[in-house]
Amino acid sequence: MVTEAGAKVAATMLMPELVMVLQGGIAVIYMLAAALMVLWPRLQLTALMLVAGALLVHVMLFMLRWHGQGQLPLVTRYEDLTVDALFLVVVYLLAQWRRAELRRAAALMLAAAGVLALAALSYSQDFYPWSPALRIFWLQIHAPLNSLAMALATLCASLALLGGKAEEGRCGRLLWWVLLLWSVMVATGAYWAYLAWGRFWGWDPIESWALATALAYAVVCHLMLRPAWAGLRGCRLALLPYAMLLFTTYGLVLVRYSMHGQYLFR
Amino acid sequence: MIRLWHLLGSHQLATVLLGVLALLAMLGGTLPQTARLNPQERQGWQQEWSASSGWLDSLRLSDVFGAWWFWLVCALLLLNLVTGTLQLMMRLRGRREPGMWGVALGHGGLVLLIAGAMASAVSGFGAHLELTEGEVWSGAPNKLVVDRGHADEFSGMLRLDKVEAVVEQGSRLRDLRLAVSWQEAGGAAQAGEISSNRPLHVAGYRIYPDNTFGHSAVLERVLRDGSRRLLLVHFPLPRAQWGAMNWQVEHGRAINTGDEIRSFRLRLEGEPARLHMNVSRGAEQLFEGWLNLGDSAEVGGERMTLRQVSPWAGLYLAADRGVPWVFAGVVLAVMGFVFHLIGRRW
Repeated sequence: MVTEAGAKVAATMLMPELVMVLQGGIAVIYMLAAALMVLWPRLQLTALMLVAGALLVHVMLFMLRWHGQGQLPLVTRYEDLTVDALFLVVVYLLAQWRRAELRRAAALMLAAAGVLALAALSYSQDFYPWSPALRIFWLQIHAPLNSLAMALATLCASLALLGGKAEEGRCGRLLWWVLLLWSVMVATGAYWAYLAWGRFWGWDPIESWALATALAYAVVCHLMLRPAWAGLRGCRLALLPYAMLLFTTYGLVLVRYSMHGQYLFR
Repeated sequence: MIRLWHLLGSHQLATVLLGVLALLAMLGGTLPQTARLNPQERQGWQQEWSASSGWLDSLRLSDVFGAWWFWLVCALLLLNLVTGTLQLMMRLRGRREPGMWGVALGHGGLVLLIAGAMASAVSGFGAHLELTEGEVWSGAPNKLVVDRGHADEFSGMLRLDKVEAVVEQGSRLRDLRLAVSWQEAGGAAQAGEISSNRPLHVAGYRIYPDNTFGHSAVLERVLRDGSRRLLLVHFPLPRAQWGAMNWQVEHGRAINTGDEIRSFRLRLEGEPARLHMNVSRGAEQLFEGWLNLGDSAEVGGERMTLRQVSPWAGLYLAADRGVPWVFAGVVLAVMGFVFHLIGRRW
């Protein structure tokens, strides 16, 4: 009845101590770069070069872990936080490349990436083979979409806090993308659940909060269609659904039992 | 009437309804929801939240997503979306504004999505079913443990032919492969395999592996009046023993024999299979000893024989007519809103 599958050996995983040093260094560089962007604008290019170098190491750590365990490193808490930090930095670099004035206004993204990369190190770096329900293509769409939506939402939050009047239009337009990406993330998760468990929605706490977050973003986006809420006022109101998004992604499994906690808390 | 028409399709109403739904979803995601708890968890919740469980129950806040007012808000949002989309399409008629047609398409997709979700809440069905290798299920509802909805009649027969669990590193389930054969009413016999994430369509149901499996013992009982009964006991195989050749599983249950309740402590071991049975009636012990395959024992006036030891597996049966509408709605909504948004500069 029971047959043994050939176990994949994590032969190319780095030593945890080395990961601690490298990822800790990356986190410090991201936070330092954020401070440079805000406090010493003349050093922005230096900060950018530091970030690009740190990102290279960050990507290398990700690839080595992927290669070592033979599955995308997306599901444990360590992996989730590390990938979120990666997306924050990539989106930051793309944004400032498109609009140089975002280097300062979006600097909170770098600070957040540093915090996440550092927080990841407080969780186990152990390798956990995926359970059958996780061995599904849609997980590999669902999880990165979560990171991408979170990165764009952080960009909006940063523009609302540091961007001032100059960035209110851009922030308003980006909020619709956040709503769309977050909603697609929820929908891909629903499709995954449908294929794995036979139901697309179970009102699990994380599902409920993810829906509440999408609805709250929809409220803000619709309010911003009205002149009284268009602009910075609406962008700052969007900090409320952003807080919900952060709680759904990082806080909820700490206080409520959720199916997602079965793997996110390793 | 015109004012009502404009109100029903307005942004203001949409904003209020979206806000109310967001609040309800937060409440339902935060407060313990009794629909998600088993009886023990429910009892524990009532003790732990003794001060507030009463009024949470009376306000239906302990079952937000099953409350009529939650679905009323969803229905109002659906009405708002239909009306708003129609109003938008009427405004756009004859105008060349492709971006706004994307908005209309997106909102049309949301209409399908919400309608599908409501249909799913009303007609969706899911139930667990445990079958032993070689066992045939012909739709008897008492074999099902229903976790949502009501079953349509299962018009066919389903047989579990073989259970194969693929594990790695000793205790991790990689895949559960269940060979099954079935025959729908009036149809030919068919065979297929159900495995993790690959459900099978049988007689209007999608059948998934439940990722539970183990060994089962079949005991034949000859009662005092000479009648014969079969007792089927499923022993879930603990994770730590998934790779072990010499497994050992335990199970305890009470059986009502008609005039008394007997307590059974059973331990099944393999390979070769043998069963340790400890049967008592209150404080009185009726039997304690080992049974090999084919062995019999006198237990409180009845004869029990170990007839068979076989693997068993859990299946999940699902049927949901709302699903195609929900996902068609998602695709349309994404297409519409992406079309609208890519036309805008950021």
